[in-house]
Formats: sequence, C-alpha cells, structure tokens
Amino acid sequence: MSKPIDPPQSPKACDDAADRRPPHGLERDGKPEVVVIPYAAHLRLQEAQKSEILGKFDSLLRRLDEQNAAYSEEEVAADVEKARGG
Amino acid sequence: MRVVVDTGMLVQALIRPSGSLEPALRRLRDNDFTLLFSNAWLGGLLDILAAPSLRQKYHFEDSDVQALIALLLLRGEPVFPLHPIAVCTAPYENHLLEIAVTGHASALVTTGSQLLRTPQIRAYRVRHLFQDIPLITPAAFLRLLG
Repeated sequence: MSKPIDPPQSPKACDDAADRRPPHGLERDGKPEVVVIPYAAHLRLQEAQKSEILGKFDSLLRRLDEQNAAYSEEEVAADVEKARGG
Repeated sequence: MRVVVDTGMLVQALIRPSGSLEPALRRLRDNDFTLLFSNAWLGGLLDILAAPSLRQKYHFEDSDVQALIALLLLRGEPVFPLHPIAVCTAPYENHLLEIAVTGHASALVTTGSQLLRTPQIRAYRVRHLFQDIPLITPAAFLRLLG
C-alpha cells in the first residue's frame, strides 16, 4: 500500500489519488507515515470515529448510572472535593 | 455557547449520571455547548479521576476515563492562556478565569465559593461577572441550556 510519491498538486493528481485502490501511502525513512484517501472516505472515517466515541460514552453513563444510583449527590460532591484535595 | 466548567462538577455528573448535574454532560454529548479547556484543566481533571478512593467506590477505570476524555476532545475546544490572572486565592479558580478570558467564554460554571467572594468579581444583580463573563452556578447553567 505504501509507496513514496510526491504530494498531489494538480487536479489530475487529485483524481488519481481519489481513484487509487488501495490508497496512496507516503513514507518517511522507509516507513509508512501518511495515507492519501478521498475526502468522502475521510468524512466517513470521521463519522465512524465520532459514533464510536459517543457510543462508548453512552455505555459509560448507563453503567455508572446503574452502579452509583444509591449514592447521594452530597456524598459524591464531598468525595470529589476530597479527591481534588479541597 | 462557549463555556468553562469546573472539573469537580464534571466528575460529579459522570459518577452519578442520574443526578441533577447529569444534563450538563448529556448536553455536551449532544453538542449543545462548546467546552473550553486547557492542558492544565485536563491535567486537573485526570488527577481527580485518578484518585483510588473515587475509582474503587464509584466503579470506574482507565477505559472509562478514556471514554470521557475522547468526548471532551470531540466536543471541546483547547485554549492556551497566555496572561496569568491572580484575583483569587485559589490558583485553580484563577486558571478557570484565564481559560474563560482567553477562550472568550460565554459563561464560567463554578461551584467555587472563593471565586464568587473575590472582590474583582462584580456582583451584578443576581449575576457575578469577571471582565463581562458571567460566573454562574451549575443550576443556573442548566437553566440557561433550557
């Protein structure tokens, strides 16, 4: 997948990069460092990452809600303040 | 809305999601406001979340902290305060003001009683202002979010 290439600078270079399967890779010192992918694919990746972050966070809230419901807000506040060194 | 939030309030909302502070985290998750933070603010948050007493009692671990931090990085905006502010005796609360001023915050949400007693914080009717930035309680913030 990774081959040293010049950065795409022309519309044709952009077309080539967008159409390339597998995507272009850029190397530094013989090691893969950058992958050039179509912008649409980049957006899909970003969206997938965002969904994963939100999903994990939702799971976390659900679990802590179940596990910590028995504690009063005052108790939690006091414990947090103590942990902060207050 | 660009907001600085007290780290303690955030941890309380995390530990007890069904509590009265929970909507703040939920609204952050839903991108209803932008959380302003600095490296030091994040460090302070991590310090609280690293406390063994909290972790054992309230059942959270490294992966949970990572999930929270990932959300903060997704929905927050880093700011880099350049000018120290020293109007309060508590360095942490001075730093909250630095983040708020540098990040052009719409509000600073704090439970810090020291901050609200600082002479430089002007009491304006029911609000407290620092350089025209309202300092509000968590309850007022939740009302503001609607």
